[in-house]
Amino acid sequence: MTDINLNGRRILVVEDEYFLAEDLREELADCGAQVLGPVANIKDATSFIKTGGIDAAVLDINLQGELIFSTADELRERGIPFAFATGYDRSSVPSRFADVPRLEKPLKARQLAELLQPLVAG
Amino acid sequence: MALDRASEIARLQDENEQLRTALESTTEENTHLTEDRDRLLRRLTAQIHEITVGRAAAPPTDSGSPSDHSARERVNQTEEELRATFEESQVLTEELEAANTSLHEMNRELDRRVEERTRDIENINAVLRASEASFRAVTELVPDFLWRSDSNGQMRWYSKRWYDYTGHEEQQPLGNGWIDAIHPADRAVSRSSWMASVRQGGSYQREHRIRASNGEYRWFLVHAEPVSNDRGEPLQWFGAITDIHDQRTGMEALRQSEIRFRTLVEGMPQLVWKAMDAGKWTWASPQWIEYTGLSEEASRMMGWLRAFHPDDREQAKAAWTQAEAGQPLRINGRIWHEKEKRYRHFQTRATAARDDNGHVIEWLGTSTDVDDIVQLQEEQQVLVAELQHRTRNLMAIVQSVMMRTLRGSSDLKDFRTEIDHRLAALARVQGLLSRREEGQRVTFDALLREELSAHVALDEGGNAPQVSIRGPRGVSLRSGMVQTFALALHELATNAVKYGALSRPGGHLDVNWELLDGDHPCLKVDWRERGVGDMADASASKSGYGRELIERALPFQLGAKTEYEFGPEGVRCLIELPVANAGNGRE
Repeated sequence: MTDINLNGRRILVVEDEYFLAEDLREELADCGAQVLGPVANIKDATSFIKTGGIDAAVLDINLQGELIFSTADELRERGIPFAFATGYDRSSVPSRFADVPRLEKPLKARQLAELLQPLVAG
Repeated sequence: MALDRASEIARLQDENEQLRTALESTTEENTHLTEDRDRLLRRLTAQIHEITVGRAAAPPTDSGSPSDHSARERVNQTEEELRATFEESQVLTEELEAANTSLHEMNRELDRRVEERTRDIENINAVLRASEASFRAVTELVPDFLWRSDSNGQMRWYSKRWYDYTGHEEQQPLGNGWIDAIHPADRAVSRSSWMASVRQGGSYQREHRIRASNGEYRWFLVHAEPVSNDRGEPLQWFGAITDIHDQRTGMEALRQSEIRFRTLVEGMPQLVWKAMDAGKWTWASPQWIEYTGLSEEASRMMGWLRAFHPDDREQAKAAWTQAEAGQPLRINGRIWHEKEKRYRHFQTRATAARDDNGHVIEWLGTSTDVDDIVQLQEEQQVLVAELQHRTRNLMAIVQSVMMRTLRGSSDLKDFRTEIDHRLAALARVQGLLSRREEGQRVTFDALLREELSAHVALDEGGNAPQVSIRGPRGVSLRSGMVQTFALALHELATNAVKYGALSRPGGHLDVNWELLDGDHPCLKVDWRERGVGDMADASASKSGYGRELIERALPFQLGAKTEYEFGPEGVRCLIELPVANAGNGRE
C-alpha cells in the first residue's frame, strides 16, 4: 500500500475523535508502525509516556476542551519527537512549539506518516 | 514743552510791565522837577522885577544920606537874595538837566529792552506755532482719537480722527456733546464714571461703543489722565480713545468657542485632556478625574502616568517621544478605573494644534475605553479558533464517516442512501449545538427527541403510537460528547426504522433513562425494541458502523459502558455514560 516504512516504531496517538483516532491507527499500522493507544485524554496519554518506550507521538491539540500542551512539554523533556494534528491554525499554538510539525485536519494519514518518518529515523 | 514756553512768555510780559512802571514813575519825577524849576523861575522873575523897581526909586549914590544908605542896603540885600535864588535856580537847572539825561538814558534802555523782549516773544511764538503744527501732525498720526477737557470735564478739543470717525461737526463733541456718539446702552455709565473721575482727579478708563458716521458701533477703550498744577489740582485732562473692537469681539468669539469646547468635552464619554509638548498635561477633563480618581492637580505634567498600568507606562512615554518627532500620539494602554478597582483597556489618541510656523501650541487628547471591545475581541478570537477547530474536526469526521459508509455499502445507491442519512444526522446535531443559548448545555431528552422525530412524528410528550420514552428532563450532556452520542442514537433509530420495531406494525420502541447520582453522575439509557421477532435478515454486518459507534466509539470517546444485543423481541441497547452533573443546565 505504501513505500513508507516506519519499521515497527512505537507511535503514541492522542486523538479524542474515535473515527479519526481509528483512521490514524489503521494507516500508521499500514506504514509499519506499532501504534500506542489511541488515547482520548491527557490522563491516558500521560500514563503511556510514564511507561516509556515511545519513539514518537501524534497529538491532537484539543481533547474535549483540554489542551494538549502539558503533554507536549512532557514529551519534549524526554526528547521524544512529536507532531500536532489539529483543527487549529498556527496562531493557536504557543510560540514555544513554533518548530513542531503541524498537520491541519482533515489530514491525510500518509502525510502524517511522511512527517513522522524523519522524526523516528535512525 | 508748550507749558514751558507759555510760562516764559508770561515772565517776559511781567518784566515788560515792570519796566513800563519804572518809566512812568521816572516821568512823574521829571514833571515834579519841571514844576520846581518853573516855580523858581517865577520867583526869580519876581525878584528881578523887585530890584528894578527899587533902583528907580532910590537917589543916586554918594549922597551918603541915611535914606540912601538904607536903600543901598536893601538893594544889596535884594541882590544877595537874587544871587542866592539864581544860584539855587542854577543848581536846580543842573539837577533837572541831569535828571533829563538820566531819563533819556532810561528811556533808551527801556526801548532797547522792550525791543529785545518783543523779539524773544516773537521767537517763542514762532516756536509755539511750529510745535502746535507738530502736535497736530502727531495727533493725526496715531490711530487713537485724542482729546482734551478742562478741569470740569468739559471737552475742549478733539483730534481730527474723532471727526473723521464720528462725522461730527467742529463744535459738536465739545462740552458734553461727545455723549451723543456713545451707544445708548453705554451712555449713562460712561457719563457718570467720567464725572466721578473728574471729581476724584484720578485716571479714567472705560470701554464703550462709539457710533461711526455710517451708524455702526465699534468698541473703544477710553483712557484719560489729568494734568495738575504744583498743588496737585487738575488743570485739564488729556485722553486717548483706542479701537478695541476686533480684539473685544475676537475675545468674545474665543470665549464662546471655549464654552462650546468645554461643553463638548465634558459631555463626551471619552476622557479628554490637554498637554504641552513631551506629554506634560496642562488640563484634564472632569471625566478623567472621576474615572481614575486622580485629581487634576495630580494629573498635571507627567502625573497622569500614574493612572496607567505599570507595564504600559514605558510604552506611553515612548509614544510621546515618537509624537515629538511629528507623529500623532497613539497609546494602547490600560488605565485605572477607580470605581471597579481594576485597569481597563484604553485607546489614547492626541493631535497637536500648531501655529502658522508649525510649532506645537498644545496637544488635545482623548482616552477611549475600549475594554469591552478588547474583551469581545479576545472572546471572538477564542470563538473563531474554536469554530475552526470544530469545523476541521467535522470535516475529518465527515471524511471518516464517508469512508466507513463506502466500505459498508453494497453499491453506490446503497451508499448514497446511507451517507445522506448520516450526514443529515450530523447536520441535526450541529443545529442543536448552535441553537442552544450561550453556555447552555444540550440535554439528553432534547437530543433523543431531535433524533427520533427525524424518523417518526412525536407528540408533546415525545411519544408516538409505536414509541414511548420516559425519563427525567434536563440531564445535561457535555458539548464534546453530543456529536458522537447523536450519531450513535441515529444509528439505533435508523436501524429500528429499517429492520426493527419501527419497521413493522406490531413493533414498539421503549426508551427509558435515569440519572445515577453520585460522585460521578451517570446517565443510564435503556433502548428496548419489542415485537420484532426474527431479526435474521437484519444482519449485524449491515449495521457494522452503528455497532462500532456504540461498542467502541462511545467507550473510547465518552468513557461510556455499552451493551448491544439482539434479544428475542428485538434490539436491546444499554448505554451508561458520565455526565457533567445532575440537572445543571449550564456549561
